[in-house]
Amino acid sequence: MEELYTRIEDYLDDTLSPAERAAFEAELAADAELAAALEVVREARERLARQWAGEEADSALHATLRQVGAQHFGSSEPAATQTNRPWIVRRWPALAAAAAIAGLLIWLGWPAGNTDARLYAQYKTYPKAGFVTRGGGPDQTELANATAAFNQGRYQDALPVLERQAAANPDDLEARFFLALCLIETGRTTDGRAQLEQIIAAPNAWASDARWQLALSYLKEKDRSRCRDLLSRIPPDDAHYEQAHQLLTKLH
Amino acid sequence: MGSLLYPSFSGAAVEKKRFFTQIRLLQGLLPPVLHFLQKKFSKGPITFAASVQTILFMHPDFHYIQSLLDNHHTGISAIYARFSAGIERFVRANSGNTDDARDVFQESLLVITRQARRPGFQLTCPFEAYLFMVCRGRWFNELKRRQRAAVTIAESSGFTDNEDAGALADATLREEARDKLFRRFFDKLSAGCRQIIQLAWTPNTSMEQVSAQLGVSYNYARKRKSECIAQLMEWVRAAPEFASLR
Repeated sequence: MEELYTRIEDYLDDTLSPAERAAFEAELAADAELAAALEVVREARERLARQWAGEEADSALHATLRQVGAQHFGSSEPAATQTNRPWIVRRWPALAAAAAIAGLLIWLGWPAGNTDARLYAQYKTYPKAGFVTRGGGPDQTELANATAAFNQGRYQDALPVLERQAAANPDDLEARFFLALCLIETGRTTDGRAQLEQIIAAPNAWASDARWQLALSYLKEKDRSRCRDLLSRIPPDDAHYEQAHQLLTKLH
Repeated sequence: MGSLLYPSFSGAAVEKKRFFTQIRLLQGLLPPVLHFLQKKFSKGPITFAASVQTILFMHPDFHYIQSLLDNHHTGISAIYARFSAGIERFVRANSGNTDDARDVFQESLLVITRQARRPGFQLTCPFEAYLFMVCRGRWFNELKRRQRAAVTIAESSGFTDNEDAGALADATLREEARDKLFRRFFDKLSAGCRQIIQLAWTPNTSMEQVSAQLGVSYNYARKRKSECIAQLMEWVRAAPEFASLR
């Protein structure tokens, strides 16, 4: 039997001499059993070689399919035995874990931090932007885009246009005020505060808003002391006096 | 009378719609066409002619197949986004759950990819119909494996039956099963047999190279290889599926 497969392999490997090859092919034509054996070996070689060659690609594709599949298929519903039990019994481990985490957060002073964040969210309101060209700097289309970006909360998109507008027109306090807000929103708080402090330095239409936003920027960082200090310096005739007074009461 | 919200399909509107349909069709065809030209152009006139023939008869949905062949994350995500919900609905309607649907979908995409790697593969039907028929066949086999008393799958979950898709899916599943048959018995061989057969059947490897790599004589390597092949052939040809999967 082994000798049969040696000859088949030699034929498929094309290592026979022309005479041997012709003799083998004549034998194949006359012997159906030999021809069938040859075909199975040929098939085995093709199938196995293709599978070995594709193993690496299969493995990579499988990883992708698993990853993408996890995003598109949710997990199955719970088993019937579980659904028959009361909700509180089924969920008790999760409830116990949630209670433990809440206790830990309270112990670590969570309510104060949360109050600051909640107060900041409650009091943070921005005026509606509407930028216009002042000569030099961005053109009207860019400013219109920046206006839309700011009013939609896309501060990162509005930022570069406002930076150019403020650089080309240092007297454009409106642009500098909104630039300050964009800087604070995008994490450049120190730069934003510097802009606000410069606006506050001289009486102008934006000073009141700048003072209020400066105080809020400290509340955002849970710096109650600096926030209270700035709020307490807002004069009674300021547009934000009432809000500042309310906030001071809550922060004490 | 049309309005801005509900435009009427006047002659101009129909022409416009047709134009954009053609553009979308060309957009779908362009990536696989470029891919074929890039990969095949340097491999000689016969291969190139075969590639041109493939391109000419290429189904517009072939880009899904190309995404799988290229393991293209975005393209594969698009396949899941577009077709996974329907397959999940189908499996759940036929005694399965979401986990079953995920497995069937994943395995079917792998099987389709392996089929597409075979020389001469052509997508002859919409990808959606092909995918559904492969998933359907695999889920049917899985239910049989789980020994459900009566396996009847009637629910098609909105997929349209397609004769070409049925034929292509049947061929795909049959080829996959036959691949597995040979692989199962190959894996059953001794480690020594697996090593010598894999070395010898790696394209462009001579028995001289195999014997040198194994550190044995040329004659011994030939003899040992023939013994191992004889064992493999005996097992494969005796398996009931060998005849039934033809």
